[in-house]
Amino acid sequence: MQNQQPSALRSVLWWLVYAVCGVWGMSLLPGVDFLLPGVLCSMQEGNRQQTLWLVVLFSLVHEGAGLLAFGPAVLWYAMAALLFQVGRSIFEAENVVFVLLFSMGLGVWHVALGIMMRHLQDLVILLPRLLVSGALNAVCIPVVWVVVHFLRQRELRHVNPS
Amino acid sequence: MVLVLFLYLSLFTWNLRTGYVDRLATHTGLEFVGAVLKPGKWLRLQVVEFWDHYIDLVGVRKRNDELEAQMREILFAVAGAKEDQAELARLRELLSIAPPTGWERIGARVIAHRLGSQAELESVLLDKGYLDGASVHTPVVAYDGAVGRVFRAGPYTSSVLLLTDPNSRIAVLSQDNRTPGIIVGLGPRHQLEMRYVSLNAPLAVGELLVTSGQAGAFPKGLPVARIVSIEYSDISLFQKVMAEPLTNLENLEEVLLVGNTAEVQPFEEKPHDSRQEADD
Repeated sequence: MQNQQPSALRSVLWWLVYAVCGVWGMSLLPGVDFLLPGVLCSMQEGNRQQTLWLVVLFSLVHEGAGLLAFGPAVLWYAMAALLFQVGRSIFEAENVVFVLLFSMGLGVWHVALGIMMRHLQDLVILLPRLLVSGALNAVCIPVVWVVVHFLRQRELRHVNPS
Repeated sequence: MVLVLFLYLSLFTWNLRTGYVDRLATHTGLEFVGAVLKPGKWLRLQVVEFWDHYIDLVGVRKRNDELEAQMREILFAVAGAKEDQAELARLRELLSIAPPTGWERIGARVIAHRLGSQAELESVLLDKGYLDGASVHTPVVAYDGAVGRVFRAGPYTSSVLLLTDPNSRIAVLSQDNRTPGIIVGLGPRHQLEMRYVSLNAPLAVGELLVTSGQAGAFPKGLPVARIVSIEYSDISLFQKVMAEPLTNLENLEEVLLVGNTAEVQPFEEKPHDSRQEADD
């Protein structure tokens, strides 16, 4: 998806609406990152600057709304970037199988990250809830990605009618 | 990868010492979430109130009669309580005990439960921040008991750690026997555990646990939980006391922030004049 990108203002508005919808999604289904599929779409578009901005802003949203000390969201998105880079060398970036494996990897990472933070920040985090959140992320990320990818493609087609 | 981990741990340690990044996330991320959720919650409230007040009026007259009867009973009870209050003031004066410091109550709405990918801890977001009086550690209560305390406060939005979370600790006293302990959460839909109660301490099932008011974290005497079971162990120095929270934390909609309005007198350090001491 190496098309011409929309104007900066249009992009900002698009991602702002997406962030608002994502925050409402997260308030309805706790534990699931509805913002990550957007980052995945941005990585698939190959727009590094846009991806970096999204990661910074979405990390601030997660860190601000969460109760853990700063860090988990940064590691969460860092692993997403790493998985994307590794996966892209094997699969087509927009392949559904790739997205499924990517979300499964993130589901496992969610659990590992929780256990890591439990030791690093000396907190009690209940394992059953952590496992449920990991599984929910693994299931929900591809579903949300399908919707966001469709909307994003429509947006890019609108900018590149040819 | 090693470099990234090194950078991350450096940032993590620096933030633990200074709190700069946490404050940045609180003032941006938390406030953004608050700004996104508040209009929707307000709209929902207006629709629900319109429905309740103007459309769904079945049984209102019957309910009104019941409430009037209840109010008459409460007026009698208040009259009695006023007498007790006056007696308490006289006794306190007699015993030279300072009355509890003033606590101010501020109403707040819950705008989200456990939001985001870091939702493993039991938390809620409130539509009040430190500009409205919700500073960090401010106690949060519902009409029937304690809820938790403010963990992170932005200007207009704050997050609260609920008392059912395993990381929550609240100092309590049993209301009748005045036995102290610490109430610890065991997770959602689980009872609370009262810890550090010695084997010979008097306690009874059904007794109410209230905040002890120690360290000024919570006002004294606020109901927290009711004891549901007590077990004695041969291998432990403490009783195993389980309690049920009084507030239903799953469906919280409105809460009260209890801010301590007592003026704290600053410690006035006298200027240390060594020459004067030498002269004396």
